[in-house]
Amino acid sequence: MRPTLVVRGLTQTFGGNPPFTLSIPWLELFPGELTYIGGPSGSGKSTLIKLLALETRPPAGDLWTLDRHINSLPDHQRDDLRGGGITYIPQGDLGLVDQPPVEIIRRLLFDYEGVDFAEGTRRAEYGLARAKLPPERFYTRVKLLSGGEKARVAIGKAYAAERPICLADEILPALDEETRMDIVDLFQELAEDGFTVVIVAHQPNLRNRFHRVVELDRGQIRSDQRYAPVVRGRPQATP
Amino acid sequence: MSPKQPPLLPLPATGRRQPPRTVPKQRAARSGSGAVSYWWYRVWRNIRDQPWRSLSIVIAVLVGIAIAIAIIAASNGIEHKINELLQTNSPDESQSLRRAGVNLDDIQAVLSTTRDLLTKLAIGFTAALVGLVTWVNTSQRRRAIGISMQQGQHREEVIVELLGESLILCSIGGILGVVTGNALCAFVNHESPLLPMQPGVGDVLAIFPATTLLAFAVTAVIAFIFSRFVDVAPAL
Repeated sequence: MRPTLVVRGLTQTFGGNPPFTLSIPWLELFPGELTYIGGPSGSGKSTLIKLLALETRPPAGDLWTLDRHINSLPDHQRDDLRGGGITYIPQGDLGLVDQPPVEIIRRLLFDYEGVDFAEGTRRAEYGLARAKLPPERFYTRVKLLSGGEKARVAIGKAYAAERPICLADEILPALDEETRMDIVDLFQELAEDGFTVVIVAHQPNLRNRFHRVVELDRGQIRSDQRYAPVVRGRPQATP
Repeated sequence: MSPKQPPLLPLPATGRRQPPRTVPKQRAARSGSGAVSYWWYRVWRNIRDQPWRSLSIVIAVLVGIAIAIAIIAASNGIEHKINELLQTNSPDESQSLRRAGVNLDDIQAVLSTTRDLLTKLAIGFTAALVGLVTWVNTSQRRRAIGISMQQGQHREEVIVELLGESLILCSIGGILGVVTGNALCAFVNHESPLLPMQPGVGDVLAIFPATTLLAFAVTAVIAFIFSRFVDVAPAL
């Protein structure tokens, strides 16, 4: 299987005393895989995911996203790849403007793909249903939704938009334990639907729910292991 | 760390696994007859989303232009009235004024200069007000611009969207401002005939493009700064 995200010799240095350097010599992320990127604060987790989300151009090293070499892509094509290939869920407001969930997704689809109102509504409702958002919340403004419901909207966006890569940056800490489990379940399902799902998190107790755990420490990969994840409600799969 | 990734276990077979997704979605073409309705919808959507903000811009432009027209009309009226008074004096009175050391040409020159100055100040005041309102309005969009760019929007598209919104709101506010300014002048003329308000057509026509262009320029500069020099991440 071909990886959707490939990192080779990626290095980014930030000023400070001492300066911080993120250095990823080799990393490949695959579709169908739910990856946990963990590590202590300041280990470079968010920096890595922002680079993977194409928010910044990698200063040194190579990055391939969906078989395109990012370093040599012109800005417009990079924007297109970011819009057409990646759903990024940032921490805080999860990248959701204050509109009803269906409208948020409809606009995303209209702005990028030119999807019309009816088709956009259909895809939005499908995505939100897949993310198990209660139907009565489909047309409620986001600011009135709970933290768990907002996370479901963000995952629903990934389902509806069908971008192959979904990246989430520290969205779990804001949720209570039970909701956190539910959201990881949804990410597991998203991965099983063929998406490449990468989550930056700081919840070591959740690591057994992921296919793969990458631990960073002071800008370096300390460990990179793949597991047979625990799946709630189903007999545990064996590798 | 080894430069090679360690061998990983195969993905578990859960019985519901779907084929991998590896192809990005394609951006829709933005040309042809559909482009106008596409952009119109995006601009209109922004105006509709924040009705109070949109209304505040319209009102700011309206008030600014109406006040500027009133100032210009009042200065025109004062100049006209004084000229009229000076010219209707009898020749004897003019002679006596000149003998008293009063130079009528100087008075007329001062009046004319004052009128020009007030006109320029009024236009500048209105342009600055509109520029300020546009600056505040666009600055509040930082997060929305960040999200929009994260979702694949090009820098030019962000700028076009903001400029379109600015054009529509400033035009509505400008037209209403000209109407309100002229109505204000007519009202003062009616209530206080001693001070005729005379809005000059040329000055009124100058205010409208000056303020709209300034609002455009401010919007363009801010949109360019946000989309060019601010990373997407902080904008979120």
